[in-house]
Amino acid sequence: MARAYELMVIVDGDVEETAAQAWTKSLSDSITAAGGSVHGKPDWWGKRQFAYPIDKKEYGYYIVLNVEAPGGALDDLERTLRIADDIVRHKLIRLPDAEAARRGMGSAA
Amino acid sequence: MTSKRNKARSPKGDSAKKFKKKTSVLVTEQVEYVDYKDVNLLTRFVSDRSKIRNRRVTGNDVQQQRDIATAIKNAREMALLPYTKRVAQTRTGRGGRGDGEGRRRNEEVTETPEQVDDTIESTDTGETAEA
Repeated sequence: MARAYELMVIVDGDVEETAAQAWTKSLSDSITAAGGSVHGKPDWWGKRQFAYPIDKKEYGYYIVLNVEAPGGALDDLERTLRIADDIVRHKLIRLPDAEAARRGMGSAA
Repeated sequence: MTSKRNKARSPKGDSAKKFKKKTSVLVTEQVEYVDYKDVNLLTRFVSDRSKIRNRRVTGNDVQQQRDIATAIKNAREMALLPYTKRVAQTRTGRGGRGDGEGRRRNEEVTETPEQVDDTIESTDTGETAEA
């Protein structure tokens, strides 16, 4: 059963913008490879100032993806994100069913 | 017993005027999902020191307050909201206004040179006033 997730990734602000944007593609690729699918377009927030410095950096590129995937399928992706040097932080949130339906994601289960 | 207590607590006369029930922003703006990405919404549930406002102030019910709290904490993790924010020059000597917690923190902060100068000045003025 596919579940609705929201994945937010912060790419290091010192990385070139093109390299950071390439992450959106590699993210969607690895999601589909894991048996999930990206719902809608990946949301590219661009470079954004942090509310507080992280690793002595003030800026980062924010990417938000709506993902539908079977439970546990994204564990590998999370591990690679944790290891990847360019990724400052990431957050994977399981969307509640009501909110997933509001975003038009629940129906495709 | 319980009925008596309830009676005492039920709003009648002036007590009803004193405690006007606040409605949460979540209700007035019909927010159905508290999103941690919605910084503009979350900042309204946060004090100027970036502490989460309590339920009495926000008018949230228990569930709303929990949603807000988790959303704020998520937003903090992703550096969308600060964990703390320094408020410049709210401190007036020692004691003064503000809650007890604020006062305690102020005492810790006195190491910064500007504020140390402030305290010295204030003590000086106090002496002159006495003289």
